[in-house]
Amino acid sequence: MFRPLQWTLIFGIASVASGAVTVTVTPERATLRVVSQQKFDSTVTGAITPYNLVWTVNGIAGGNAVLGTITADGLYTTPAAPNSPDNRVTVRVQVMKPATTPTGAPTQLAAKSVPVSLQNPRPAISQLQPSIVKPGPFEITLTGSGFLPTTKVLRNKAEQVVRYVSSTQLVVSGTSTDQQIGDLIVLKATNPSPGASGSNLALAEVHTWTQPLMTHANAHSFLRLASFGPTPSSLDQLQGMGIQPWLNDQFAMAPSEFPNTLLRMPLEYSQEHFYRLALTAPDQLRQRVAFALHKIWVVSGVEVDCAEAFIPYYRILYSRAFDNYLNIMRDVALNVAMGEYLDMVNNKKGVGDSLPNENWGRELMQLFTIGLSKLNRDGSAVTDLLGQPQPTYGQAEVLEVTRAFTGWTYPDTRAGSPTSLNSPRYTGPMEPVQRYHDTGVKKLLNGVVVPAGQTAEKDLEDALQNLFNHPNVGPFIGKQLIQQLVTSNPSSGYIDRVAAVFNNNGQGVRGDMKAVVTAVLTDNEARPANAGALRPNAGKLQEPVLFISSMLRALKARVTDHPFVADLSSDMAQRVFYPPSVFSYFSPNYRIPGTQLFGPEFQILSTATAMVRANFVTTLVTGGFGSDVRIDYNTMYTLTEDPPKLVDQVNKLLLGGKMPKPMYTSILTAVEAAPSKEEKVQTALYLTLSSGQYQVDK
Amino acid sequence: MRTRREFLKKCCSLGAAGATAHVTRLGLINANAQSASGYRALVCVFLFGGNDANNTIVPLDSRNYADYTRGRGPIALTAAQLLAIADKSGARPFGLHPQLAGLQQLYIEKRVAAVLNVGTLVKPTTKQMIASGQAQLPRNLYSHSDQTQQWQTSNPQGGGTGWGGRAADFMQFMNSATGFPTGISVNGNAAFLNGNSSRPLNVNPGARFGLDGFGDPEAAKARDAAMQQILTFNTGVQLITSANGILNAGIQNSQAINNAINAGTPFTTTFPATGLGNQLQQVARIIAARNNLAMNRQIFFCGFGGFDNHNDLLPSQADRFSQLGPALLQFYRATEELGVAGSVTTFTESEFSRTFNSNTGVGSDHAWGGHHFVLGGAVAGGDIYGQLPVLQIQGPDDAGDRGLWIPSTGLDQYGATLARWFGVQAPDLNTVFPNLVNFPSSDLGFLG
Repeated sequence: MFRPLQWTLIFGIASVASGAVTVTVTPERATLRVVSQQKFDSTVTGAITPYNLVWTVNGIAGGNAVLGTITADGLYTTPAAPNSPDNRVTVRVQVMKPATTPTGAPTQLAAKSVPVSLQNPRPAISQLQPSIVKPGPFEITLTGSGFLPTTKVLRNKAEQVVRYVSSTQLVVSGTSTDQQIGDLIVLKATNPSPGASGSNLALAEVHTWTQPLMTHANAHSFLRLASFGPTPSSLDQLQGMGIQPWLNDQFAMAPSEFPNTLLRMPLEYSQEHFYRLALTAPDQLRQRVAFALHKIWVVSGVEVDCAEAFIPYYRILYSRAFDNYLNIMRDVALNVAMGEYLDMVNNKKGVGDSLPNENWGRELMQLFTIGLSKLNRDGSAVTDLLGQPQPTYGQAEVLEVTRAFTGWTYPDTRAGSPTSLNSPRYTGPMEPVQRYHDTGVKKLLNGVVVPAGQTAEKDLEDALQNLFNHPNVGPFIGKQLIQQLVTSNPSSGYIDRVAAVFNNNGQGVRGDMKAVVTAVLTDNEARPANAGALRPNAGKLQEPVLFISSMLRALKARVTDHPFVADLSSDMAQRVFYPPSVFSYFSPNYRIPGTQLFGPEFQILSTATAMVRANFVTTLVTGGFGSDVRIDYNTMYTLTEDPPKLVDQVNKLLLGGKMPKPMYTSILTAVEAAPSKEEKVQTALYLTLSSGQYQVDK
Repeated sequence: MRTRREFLKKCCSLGAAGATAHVTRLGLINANAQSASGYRALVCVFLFGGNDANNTIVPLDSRNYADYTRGRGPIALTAAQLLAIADKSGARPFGLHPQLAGLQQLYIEKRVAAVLNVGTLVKPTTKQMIASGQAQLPRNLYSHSDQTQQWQTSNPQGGGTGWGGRAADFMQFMNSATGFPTGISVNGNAAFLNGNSSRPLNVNPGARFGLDGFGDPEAAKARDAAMQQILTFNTGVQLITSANGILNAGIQNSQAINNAINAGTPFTTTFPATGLGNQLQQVARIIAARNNLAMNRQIFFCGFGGFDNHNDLLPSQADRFSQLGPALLQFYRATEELGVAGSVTTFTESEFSRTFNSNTGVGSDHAWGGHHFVLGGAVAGGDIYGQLPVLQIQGPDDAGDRGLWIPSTGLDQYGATLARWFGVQAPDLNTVFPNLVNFPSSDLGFLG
């Protein structure tokens, strides 16, 4: 700091006016980190004769390397390290009258001492190498300044082993575990007293690779679609493998099961297990597709409130998720839970006026296979000359198809087909009772006629094949899978590409689910757009299950009590395994009010449930779930020292790094206003997770 | 196994939002509507799944009752079970379902009217027109999703805004200038309440309604400000904008409604602790707070499911009606206590009725026209409106061969009668009910 002086003594000698001689120095004291400089300015008054200024450090003119040096005009340079014992030196200026004779001594007219405290340098890290380390032991070289042999390096507050190379280089050794794959290593160098201080934060990451095959942002987008939400480790895995090998790995993985122990327990225990698998199962894609199939082929605990019935149904969905669609159709058609839900079980052929129950026949067509209107392969409606859509079937066909499925009952323990209707039993698929099967001729769809006299099994197979081969199935089911996994408003081209794969997987096979799922997830339209290039109709709203699971997964929450999670999604209008009707938790045709866009999940997003979502986030981030949900916030707490880094990390974890700039700015401002590290983290998470930017997959 | 059938709801879906807004009329002060001063509310109770109307109101005259027992077979109710009522003249005896004692009581008090064989129609339709292929029929009859949507939107092609929402479009000018929504759903999102300009508020019955706060008060202000910015800046992605808009609407309105409910007139009428009971109790609370909200016109949407009884119709429907009857009775009593019985009109909707004959599972399947109730102090009650179909399989009113009654009264007529009472004027009724012009009468007379 410089002050305007009456006379600034640029050179050592000057003339001043007469009077008592005094000298002042500014600043009057100084605390200096090594290595730095301080300019001391002196002001001399009252001297009448020419004089010299002599600057000393601890009495030594000009100082030395141990004490620091000072120039004739008062520029002090600290030594390389604070000197012992007390890390203080005294800078002194003397106003000397030059000797008047060649042998005379100069005379001191005035002097002033200034105490100077010396402190260790503040360390700074400018670079770390490597910034990506593999799990296991690692060494990271820090480049920067102000490093001392006594410098410590902390990783999330824990001291690491450090080797001092120079004041600009340190080498840190540590270990990362497999549990830390995908996590940040936050390093901070600290110097001891005098003037203990810490550096900026430097970030490294733990990965299984050194060069990823895809970006974090792209992997993040993909895993929001293909799993119950990205975790740091699943992101690492996908980035290391690339999409197709990851898909192949998922296709090959054995299903995580709903074990037999759940059969005898209330269905709520299966809800709990569903969440356990969503949060932790390795076969994420299979479980995600199974859940999508459940939302299409609905059986609801509202009516079938019994795990013994429900689990065999759900097992079909995850076992057959990557099988052939016809096999899904057949297995579910014969499943007892579905038989109960849509009344196919014990549905007898008509007698006189009394016709068979048409519930199954109708919904099988309307919801599970072909839909109400004839479709082109791209999902658009086939229309007549007046532009009216053409129905796929009428009341007559409902009855014909219903008749083909009559005469099925609960399984029994006897060999051969039952001859009468059995009581409820859930140990296997339904069995035919030929005498209750309608053996008449049936006129199915598209001119297919089933002849009279066929068995219940043959009629069922013929009716299923008739529907499976209907040209509507590809676009009808393809579009719904796109909506369930990727986007609410696929283009007709996207539907067409998926339907084409449904119709033929390339090897002449129709209904190959692996090929269909691959087509859905790898289509160009499923790829994330570059920031700012999103289509206006892009994305899908996370349903409550995915809203909850994806944030718990991203934050690596350890959930020890899963039932509460099921209760919470119920509060958001999605009670898992209990959709309100065969029309599922929400309709694929729901349009967002005030827009032309489909938004199936918006059917259960109301002003009420939107606030339930936001309040769920509040409870989660403020620790309101207690020991049921444990989240390790230590890394984020460390990052609160550098709020932009905290927001960066939240952005990366939850939005794949794609947070829009205005949102980033708003969050940063609020984080800076929060008084504690806890509240800074809570604020960043709350504002991100409650936003539409987070809740819409895109 | 089949322990409960409930919560069969929300199967509505919105199709193409095709209706054009008549927004130019909205700002106009309609002299007639204004003169209809004082508070008025409509309350829709939707019976999801397709209520079997044939067992809801049963004709007890000997000819029709004989047709009834013959046609329904194993799913017929006995005359002894039914709760007797008669039309105003006393000449035509009917019976209400045995679980509807509450409605019987209000019927006797002349607060309930029954409207027979109402359904979705483009225009008056006869069996001959259907047989000859000349009938213009609503799209996808007998489909839950389509018919639910059509009952809520009055659009027989499906899609678009709801008729309650369009009625709100025309009447919201009578409400507070604060923009508090005219439509309130206590049963999730319903197409019924989406207007061209009006958007409903959803309030969960009994639930806390508002954002939970946390942390330092000053920091919370900064956080709220940031949230406002995040919820309102344009991302260019419609789904994000919509999701943010819904949360923001909740936040904006929650404080008003909470304050109003807390300051509202307390009432002592108790409600049954059922899904519908809780919903109607919440509606009563909001009505009690109407002055605090400065509301003159409100439309509410309630509903519950479990009416899709393909199997075991008798016990299943009885279980549902054991919720409906007491809840409606107590709701009416609450409006009496609040002094607004004459200002609140409640009515039922359901996507369709069910086949007249039984299937082999002692249940009934999807059909078409059905009977409905209107209830309130303004209702010209204690009477039966509309026409009973001829209760014969393949008879003159059967659209097929199972007793799929062709409606004799269009939904548009039913709704227009309610909307006119609510204050919507004649020319605007044709916007609220686009097919109303096809019908001879737009007022069924049950609202005086």
